[in-house]
Amino acid sequence: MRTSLNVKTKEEPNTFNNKMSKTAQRRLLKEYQQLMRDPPPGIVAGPKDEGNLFLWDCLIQGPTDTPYEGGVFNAQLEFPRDYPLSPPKLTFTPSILHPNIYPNGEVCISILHAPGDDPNMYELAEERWSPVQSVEKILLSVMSMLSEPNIESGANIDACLLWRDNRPEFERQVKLNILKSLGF
Amino acid sequence: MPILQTNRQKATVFVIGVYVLTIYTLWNTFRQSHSFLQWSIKLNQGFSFIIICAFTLMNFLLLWQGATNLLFGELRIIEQEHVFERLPLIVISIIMITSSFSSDQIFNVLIFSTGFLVMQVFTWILKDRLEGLLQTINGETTLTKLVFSNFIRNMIIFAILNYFTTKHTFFDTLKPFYHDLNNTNIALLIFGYNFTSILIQYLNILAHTILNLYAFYYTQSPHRRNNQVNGDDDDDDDEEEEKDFEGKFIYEKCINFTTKLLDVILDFTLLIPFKFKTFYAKDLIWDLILLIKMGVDLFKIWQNNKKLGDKLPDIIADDLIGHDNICIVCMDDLVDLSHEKKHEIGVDNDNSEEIIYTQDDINAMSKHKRPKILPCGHMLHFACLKHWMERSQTCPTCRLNVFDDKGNVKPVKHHHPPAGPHQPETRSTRPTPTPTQPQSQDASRPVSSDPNTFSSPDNSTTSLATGSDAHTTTTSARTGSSRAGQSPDLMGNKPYKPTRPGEWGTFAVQDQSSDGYTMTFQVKDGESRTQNVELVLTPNKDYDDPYITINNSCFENVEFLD
Repeated sequence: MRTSLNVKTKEEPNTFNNKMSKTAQRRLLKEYQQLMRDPPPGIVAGPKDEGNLFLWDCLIQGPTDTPYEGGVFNAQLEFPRDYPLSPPKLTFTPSILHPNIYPNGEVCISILHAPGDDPNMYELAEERWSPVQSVEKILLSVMSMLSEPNIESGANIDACLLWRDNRPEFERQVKLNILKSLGF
Repeated sequence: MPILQTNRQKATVFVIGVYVLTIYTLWNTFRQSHSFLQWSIKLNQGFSFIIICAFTLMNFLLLWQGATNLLFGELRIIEQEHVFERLPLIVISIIMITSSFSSDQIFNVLIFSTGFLVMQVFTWILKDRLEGLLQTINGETTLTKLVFSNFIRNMIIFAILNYFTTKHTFFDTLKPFYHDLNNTNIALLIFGYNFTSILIQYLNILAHTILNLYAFYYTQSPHRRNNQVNGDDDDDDDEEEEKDFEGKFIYEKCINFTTKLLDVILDFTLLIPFKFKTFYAKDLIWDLILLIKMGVDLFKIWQNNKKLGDKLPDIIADDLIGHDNICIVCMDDLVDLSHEKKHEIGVDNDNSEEIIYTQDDINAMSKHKRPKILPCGHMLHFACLKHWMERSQTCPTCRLNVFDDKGNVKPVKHHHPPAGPHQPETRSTRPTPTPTQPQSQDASRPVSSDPNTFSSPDNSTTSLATGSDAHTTTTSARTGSSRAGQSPDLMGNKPYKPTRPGEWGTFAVQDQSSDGYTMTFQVKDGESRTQNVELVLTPNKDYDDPYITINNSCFENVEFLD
């Protein structure tokens, strides 16, 4: 299922906010153009508002052969001023039931963690953020995260337990939420 | 009970229950006793004591919750996690401290440990809040808004609190005892030490706050704004951008280093009155190790970044052959044509792939922007690389260390082949047809997106390039997956077998004959069919390394046939 978001395709916003970092803006614009030109299947993303390239809205299609199949999930990407040197923050709005998504919708995957700090030594430096990642790659990672949860470093403990111990119930709840989100 | 749906309702019922029980106990014991002393004793016996304890604990938690709400509002998830991760350690250390005091100190110790616990937790939250504050910065943020935020208010409150605790514990109470150590003042001494360590943490946060506020002010300052408004020429902009507050990460590391140094000094001062007992020395040793590690790291980064421009070679025009001419940090063109030249050839950005760049184009670029080539062969703008190197000392594409332990850069040889160039070629015996494209002369350097590709059965494309530097040949693969390949340090040229997809491996070359080195691989594709792939590498004259490096991101398993 290809979803389409009604994004205005005006490519060069007139009023850039001067205060923001120029490199980040340019790169975000480039990524946006790239995504418009050649959108990956199942993903739609673009800035919420043309004046501010640092806040994006994304639609992610639930991967096939997973409980999330058939769902379309709305997420919000928040970019730091020094993007792409620091990772953006991805939040599902509304949150979805998944072992690696916090109840408030924040996504916990290692590539979205800054390279410098490793407070808990949970993950290797190689698995963390690098400027080679992009919006497209992040969203593709999230899609693969949807199909393969990693309960070793869970963000939502309830979802972790449910996923591990009672898969049918987990799938039922996910399906129910999808139906609800689609308005049934 | 079906009535009690939420945790809040349960908590309310519990609180009311405890209050009723406490009042009942107080009343009951009061009725049965004839004097205040008797009443107190009764209160400290049996069930009464348990109820009083529960009452105190519950009120403490309620107060704490109230104070947290008042100061910080709702805690973010990361803050809650940090608190719950670190709380047990602090509680254990408090129990350790309290266990070594005589019982007549109980009230002092109780008050101090409560105060310490609360202060410590709030300091953690404060630190996380600084990050939170920085994340909220957006286009509408002004300096005044930041200065008059809740965070700064909390900073001021904590400054006052810290002043009083440190003054009280360290200067007022301790001074008279410092010369005459007995059990009494050890309690105060250790708590004084703990409060001072909180003060140091606070100073750390304060320094970070000031640094960040200054960095924010800097990016907002008028000279920059004017420049951005006026700057329509690309190059000028980028030079200006270079002046963007670039050393922030280094400064932050310096602040952390200084904090650690203060910690070590504090640990040391604690040792003097205790006459260097081993129990108290453990903190010192631990902090000292961390301090040295941080210092070495900081020094290395500082050194490396200072000489970044000199150590790393500029790219030469030949490097760009077969490269997509994109700097992966800013996603701009790696080499940009000057406006006149663009006009001359009559190209726009869309078909820039077809342009052949000359050395002049590279030389025409400003020094800040001129692309550098890393030892692994990846190319970036100097400015982009510099910003990244402050954060991490590895290549952003393949995460290979840029500098080795001694702070040297492995050379990427600019190889100028002789007149009759040896053409590196790739052959795979079966079954995949190998589109061996005419190899450009300058593929003699590991360049990941080299045109010389062959397709493996699972449809992923492996690009191959042979090289003449110390790592000789790098086969890097691109998969559609989002994860970047992982690469352990390859500096020790020992054969290394990759164990999982995406890892790098080093393989010994078996056969050395006049026409090249031959290697055979067993490659498993997606359906677990095993294929033999023979690889013949035609060496350059100065090639003397018996190992080649393979990245198996696209292969499930690469096995070396003996």
